[in-house]
Amino acid sequence: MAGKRKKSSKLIRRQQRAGYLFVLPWVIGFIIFFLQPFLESMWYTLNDVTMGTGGMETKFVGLYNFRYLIVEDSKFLMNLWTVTADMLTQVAVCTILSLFIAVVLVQNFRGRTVYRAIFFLPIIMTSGVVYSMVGSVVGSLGLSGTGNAYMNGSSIADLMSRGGVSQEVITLIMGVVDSIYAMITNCGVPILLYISGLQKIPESAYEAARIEGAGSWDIFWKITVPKISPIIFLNIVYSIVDSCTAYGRSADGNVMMKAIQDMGFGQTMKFGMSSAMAWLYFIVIAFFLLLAWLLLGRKANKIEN
Amino acid sequence: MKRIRRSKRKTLSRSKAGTFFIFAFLAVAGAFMLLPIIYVLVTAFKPLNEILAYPPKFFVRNPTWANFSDLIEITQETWIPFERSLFNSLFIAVAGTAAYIIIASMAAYPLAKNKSRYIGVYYQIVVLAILFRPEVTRTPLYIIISKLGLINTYWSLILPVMAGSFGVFLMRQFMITVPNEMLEAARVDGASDFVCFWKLIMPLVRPAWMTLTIFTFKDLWNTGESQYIYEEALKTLTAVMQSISSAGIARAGAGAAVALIMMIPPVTVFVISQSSVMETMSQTGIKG
Repeated sequence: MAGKRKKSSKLIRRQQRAGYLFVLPWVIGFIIFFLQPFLESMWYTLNDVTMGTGGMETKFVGLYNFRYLIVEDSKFLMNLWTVTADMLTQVAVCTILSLFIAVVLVQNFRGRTVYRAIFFLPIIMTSGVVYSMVGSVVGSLGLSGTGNAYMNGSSIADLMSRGGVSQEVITLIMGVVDSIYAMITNCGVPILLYISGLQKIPESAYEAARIEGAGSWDIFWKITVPKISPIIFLNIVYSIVDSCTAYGRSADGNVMMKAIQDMGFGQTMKFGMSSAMAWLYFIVIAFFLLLAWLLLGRKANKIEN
Repeated sequence: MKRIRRSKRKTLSRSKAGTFFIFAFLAVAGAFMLLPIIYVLVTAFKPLNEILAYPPKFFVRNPTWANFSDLIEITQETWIPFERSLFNSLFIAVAGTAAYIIIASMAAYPLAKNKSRYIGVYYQIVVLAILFRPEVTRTPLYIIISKLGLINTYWSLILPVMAGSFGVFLMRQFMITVPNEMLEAARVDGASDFVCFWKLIMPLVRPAWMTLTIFTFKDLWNTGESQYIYEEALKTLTAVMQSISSAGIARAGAGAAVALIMMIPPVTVFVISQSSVMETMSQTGIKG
C-alpha cells in the first residue's frame, strides 16, 4: 500500500515538473515584456512623469492622479459609462448572434467555406494598420461612417439627401446601418471560435439524443450549449476585451482608449495621468471579467474535470 | 434553394420555412459583409478621376492597371527594394506566428490538464493579462526593449507578441474539451507528457491553433510604423505602404492599390487554414 502511494505521488510530482517546463518559455516572455512594463506603469500612476532633457523624470505625487480623474475630470466618468454600456451591448449581442450564425455555418451545405470567409473577412479589414488603408477606401462608401481621406460626408447619405429624403430619416438610417455593420463585424472572431468548438462535438452525441427522440430545440440546449460552454465563456471574455481595448486611433476604437493615448502620447505627454487612467479603467473591466467568471466560467471549467 | 443540400450528419430537423429564413438571413448578412471588400477590389482598378468622382460610383467604369504601375513607380523611387520590405514583413509574420502558436499551446497545456496547486492562480493571471493591450504599457516597454539592445532588430517586433496571453487562454479553453480518459489511456501506454502534448492534444485541437494562426498572422502583418525600428531597410512592407497611402490625394490611386495588396496575405492565410481544418475534420476519426 505504502509503496503504491509513494509511486503515485512521484508520478504527480513528475507531471508537475513537466508542467513547469511547458509553461517556462511563455512565462519568461510574459515577465520581461509584460509584467515588468506593467508594474512600471503602476508606479507611474503615483507620479508626475515628464520627458525632460535628461530622459524621463518622475516626481512622486501620491494619489493625486486618481483623485484628479475621479473628482475633477468631468469627462473621465462619462467616458467610463459610455464604454461600459457599449461593452455590455456587444457582449450580449455577439455571444448570442455569433452562436446562432456558427450553428448554421457548421452544417454541411455547399459553399459553407465561402460563407465562413465572408463573415470573417471584415476582421482582417477593420483592425490595425491595414484598416487605416482599407478604411480610407471603404469610408467613401459610407458604411460604418468612418473618416475618409478623399471626400467629406458619406456618399450613400449624400445620394439620399439628393433624392429628397429628410435629414432626420437619413441620420436614423445611417445610424442603424452603422450599428448593424459594426455588430456583425465584431461577431467575426466569436463566430470562428464557435465554429472551431462546434466541430469538436462528436456526432455520436447528437445521434444518441435523436434516438432518444429529442427535438432540435432540446438538442441545442442540452447537448450543443453544454458541450461548447468553455467556448461561450471564451467568447464572452473576448467580447469584453475586444470592446474595451479597441485601438483608440481607429475609427471603431473606443473613447476611453483614445483618452488614455491622448493623455500619454498626445500633446500633453502626461504618462503618469495616462497610466492612472489605464489602471482605473483596468479595474472596472476586471470587475466585469470577474462577474462573467463567477456566472459562467467556473461552471464551464467543470465540464471535463 | 436546391443548391443547399441538407446534411445527414449535423442538420437538426427543421421545417422548410425555417431553413429558408436562416439562409435568407445569411445571404443578406453575407452580402452586407462582402460589400466593402468588393468595393476595395473594384476601387483598385479605377482610374484616378473615378476614385475622386463625387458622388462616387460603386463599380468601375474603365478598369485600369494604372494604380498598380503607379505603385511600382513609387516603390522604385525609394532606396529600399520592394522585396526587402516584403521579406521583412513576411519573416516577422511567419516566424512570429509559428513561435507564438508553439509557446502559447505549451503554456496552455498544463493550464488545461495539470491539477497542480498553483494552476488556479496562473489561470487568473493569464485571464487578467488579456486586458492590457500593448498601447498601455508602451512607454515602459520601449525602455525595456532599448535596454535589451533590441532596437532596430526584428526581435523588437516579434518578442513582445510572445508575451500575449489571449492565445494561451484560447488554447486552454479548447484543450479542456479533450476528454481526460484519452490522456490517461495514453499515459498508461507509457507516453510522456511531451508525447501526449505533441501527438495527442495538438492534433485534437487543430481547429483551435489554426484559428489562432489567423489572429496572430493578421496582427503581425499589421505591424506598421514602429518606434523600435528606424532603419529604413528593416521597416515592414506595411510601414512602407502606410507612408505611400497617407501621402494625400495625389496618391489616391496608388493608395487604393495598396489597400488591395495588403489584404491578400491575411486572406490567403485564412482560406488555407480554414480549408485545412475542414479537411482534417472529415478525414480523421477525431469526431467520434
